[in-house]
Amino acid sequence: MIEQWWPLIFGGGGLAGVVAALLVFAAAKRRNTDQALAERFDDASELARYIREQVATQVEEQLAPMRKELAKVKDESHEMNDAVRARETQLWMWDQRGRLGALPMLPFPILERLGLSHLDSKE
Amino acid sequence: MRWRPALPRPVAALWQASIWHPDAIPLDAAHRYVSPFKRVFLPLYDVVILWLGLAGLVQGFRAIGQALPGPGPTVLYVALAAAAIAALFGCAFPRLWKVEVAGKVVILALLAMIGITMVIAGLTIPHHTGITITPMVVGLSIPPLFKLWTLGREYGDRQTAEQESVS
Repeated sequence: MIEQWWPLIFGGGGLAGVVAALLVFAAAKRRNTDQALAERFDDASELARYIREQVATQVEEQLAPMRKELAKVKDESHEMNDAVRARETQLWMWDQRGRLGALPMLPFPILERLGLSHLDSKE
Repeated sequence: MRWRPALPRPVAALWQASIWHPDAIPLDAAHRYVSPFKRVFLPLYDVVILWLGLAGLVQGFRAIGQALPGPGPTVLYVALAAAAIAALFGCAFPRLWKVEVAGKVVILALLAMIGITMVIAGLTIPHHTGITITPMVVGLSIPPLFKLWTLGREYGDRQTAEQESVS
């Protein structure tokens, strides 16, 4: 039968009682979030600085993907400008030298990006 | 205007000190949620535990009778009923919150004993339904845990308010 288990039964009951009493103690020690936050700072300026730092960190986290996207767009724009500038120079030289040889064209990746891949001279 | 019965002075004082008096719970946004908990559900819980203790004295759990030596089962049921009465008084009169804490702690300890006995009986005695009863005992442990937590928080808030008024 189960009478030999009584030490475990009493032990478990005692442990539950201790845990329940500790729960009251833990709840009494707990402070409201706003109280705890206010207690961490000596004065209002320190609290204001903390809030500014937290806001700056959050804003930086939100801006990081946009910064990355902007850098990519800038790089592509520079590449496009360089290609058009080089082609205009080649065109001018081609015209000055009597239009000998093939018409200078933009590199294929640039044509493709402009939606003009059908103008590729290699095809 | 609401009709109020004229009460004898001691009864009126008792009514004013009780949790059911209109001024016992501050009137704010939480009132509609706190009021039924404090005035109905939690006192009703203590009544149910008192019922459990008395039912134990009348009929008892078979497993408790087998597990505890001598007058153990009777002591357990009497203690459960006494703790429920103490908790009910503490619940009804907020100033007796320490009595309520003591009652609820004892109730939790006794419920743990009943739950453990049910698990042991369910695992060792053939065809015993202890394992099925265990979740019900665990469910009965949730309201006192909630009440002990809120009593602790209220005590902490009172201490903070006292410290602030001193400094």
